[in-house]
Amino acid sequence: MKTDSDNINLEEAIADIRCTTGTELDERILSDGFAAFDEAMRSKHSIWRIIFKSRISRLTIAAVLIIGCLIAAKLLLTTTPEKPPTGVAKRTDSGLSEVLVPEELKEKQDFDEKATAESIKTELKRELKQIEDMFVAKDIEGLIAMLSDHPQEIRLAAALYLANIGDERAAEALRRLGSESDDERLAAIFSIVSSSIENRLEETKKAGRLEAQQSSAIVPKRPLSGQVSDAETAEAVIDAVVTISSGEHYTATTDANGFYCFEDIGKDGNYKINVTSKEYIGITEQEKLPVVYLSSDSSQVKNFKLEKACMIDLLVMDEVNEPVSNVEIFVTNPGDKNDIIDTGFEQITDRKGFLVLGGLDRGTFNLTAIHRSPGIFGNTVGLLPDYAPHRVTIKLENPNDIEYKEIVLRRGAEVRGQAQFEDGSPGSDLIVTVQPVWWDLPFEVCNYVTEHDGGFELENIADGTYLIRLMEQADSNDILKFETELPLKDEPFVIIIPKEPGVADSNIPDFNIPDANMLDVNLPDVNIIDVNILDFNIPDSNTEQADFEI
Amino acid sequence: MLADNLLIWRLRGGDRQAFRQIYKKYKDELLTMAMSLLNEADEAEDALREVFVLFANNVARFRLYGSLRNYLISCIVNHIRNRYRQKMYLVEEVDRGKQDEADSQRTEQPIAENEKIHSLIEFLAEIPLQQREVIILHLQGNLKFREIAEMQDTQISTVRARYNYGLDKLRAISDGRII
Repeated sequence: MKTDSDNINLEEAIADIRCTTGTELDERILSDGFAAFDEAMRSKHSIWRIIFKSRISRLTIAAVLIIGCLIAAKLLLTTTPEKPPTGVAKRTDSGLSEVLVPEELKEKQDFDEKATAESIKTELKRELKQIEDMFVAKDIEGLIAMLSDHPQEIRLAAALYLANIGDERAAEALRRLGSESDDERLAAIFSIVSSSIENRLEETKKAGRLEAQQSSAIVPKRPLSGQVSDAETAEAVIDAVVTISSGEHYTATTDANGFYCFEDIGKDGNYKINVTSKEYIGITEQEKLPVVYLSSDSSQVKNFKLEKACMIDLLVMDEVNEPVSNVEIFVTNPGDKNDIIDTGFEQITDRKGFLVLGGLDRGTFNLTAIHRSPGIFGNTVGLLPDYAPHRVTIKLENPNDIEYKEIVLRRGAEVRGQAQFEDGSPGSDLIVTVQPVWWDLPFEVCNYVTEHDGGFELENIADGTYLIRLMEQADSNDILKFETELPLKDEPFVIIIPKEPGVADSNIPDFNIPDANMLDVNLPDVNIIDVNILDFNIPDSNTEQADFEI
Repeated sequence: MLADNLLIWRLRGGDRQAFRQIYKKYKDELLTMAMSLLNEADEAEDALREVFVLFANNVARFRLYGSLRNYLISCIVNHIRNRYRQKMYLVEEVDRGKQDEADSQRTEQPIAENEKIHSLIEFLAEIPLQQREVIILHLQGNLKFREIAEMQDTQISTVRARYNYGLDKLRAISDGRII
């Protein structure tokens, strides 16, 4: 008897099957794949590939081949030798004449024919190469010149290449030569090729007219519309998001032609315009945002030209190379602490751990990866991380390249601590924040609340130096802040707080707490860290290990 | 989606690393599906290799109109379908007395180490290929019935029926030994 739970379990079991490739298989497939890839890339630019890529060329080739076959068949059936062969003719019994060629004469004739054929072949090769070069150089006039006063094969090849280029001059020349030529076969071929070029040109013109009609139908539209284009090439920017804001926000995305439009706005007024794009550097700096007055009964057109942006293809993995999803990436400039660069797009890794960051200018950037699991757990407030935060620095120099970067997140250790006042009473209900000293983001990754006995547990603490702050819940003023190496050898560590609530940092006296080695001797039960109160002094961002006084 | 488009863009520009990244991104998922469909490690690996080599070979004229993931999934499924047909043909040949010793001596090398998973793959091998395909594509490939219907060139209702029949059969074959 089938039950829903059976179904779910079976389906889950199938969905949970995981197989993974071994290193040997990876190497074999990549090696074979690279070989195939290299071969494909080599043949990609082959001239014949270019020719055969075009439908018109293929049709022309087919037409030329068919006509060629017909001509050959006709010649075989109807032609007679133009020059009588040297030798003695005699009448046979059947009444037909047979040419008798002496043996030595025949050998000489064979040799002459071979030499001539070889010479013709060499000459043809040379001229075909010449035509090929002209095609690559788009030398229309040169190719047109090859249509006359050359062997038939060369003239046909020139016609074929001209068909591929599809130039108007070529169509005219072929039409003219087709009508002037005494050779009926060549005239027919030139005529076919000329027609195919004209048809192709006509199709191109029609497509152009259609595009122009579509473009004119898109702009302008009320109350705000416009186009976003590449500042250098004037190409349409198709992924741009245009946002207008005046209390309320409205968003439009550019279409395939780079056009955007806002058809309706809630109220008339001054609107700030923000433009973001992954492939282009957007207009996002608040101070530099253009402002425009919009009203529902008037039309405005605003065009934007953007410069190409640098992009980063990011993969976030854990220590065993499993992709980590739901990792938020914050981009900061090492020179501007506490200033997160807004690229205008959500910056969270997908379920494969991938994220493409774009819209960045050239320069050096810090990428801070924070994994977050939503929810409130016990005495932990906010978002509980599954991994310790990590930061990498990347230098972007070329907007035409997409930098690939991997970030490896580590699960840290759990660190237990205890807060207590000088008189020994527990520091309960205090907020504890802990962040690496390299932290340059304007928020804490995680806050903890001390329990009634002053105890707290810090999650996922990777090896490093941390800034720990204790705050009163009521007013959030710091009552203590210090730096320490974490995790400690022994736990829990005890933080002694001066019993002077509300005292300013600068007035907090130094704490006299022995170092870790002494603790083992003097205080076997607990570790008490010897800390000096520090100012909020984050060390240089490039230095992950900070010095602190003990 | 955008990442795939960018990877393809880089690939078409001649960037070998893009090929490596695409391979890295999808290899395990495709191998899992191939293994679930074939129940033979070496054939699953061959299928994975064939698909990626073919993909590399066709990169010059490759155009991505939808999802790269779905494209690669359909490639591996088509490849396996063809292999399966060839195999069926081979079985018929054997029945006619032309025994293929090499084929009969093929040794299985399970990739999935977990015994339970291995058993499940073996049970899957006992249900018809079309039903197996639907189950694997839906549960492992996360494809919608509509997408599978397009891939199998059939109606959505048929796909849904294959899915349900397949699960029923699987349950009967496994006789509660999976769950």
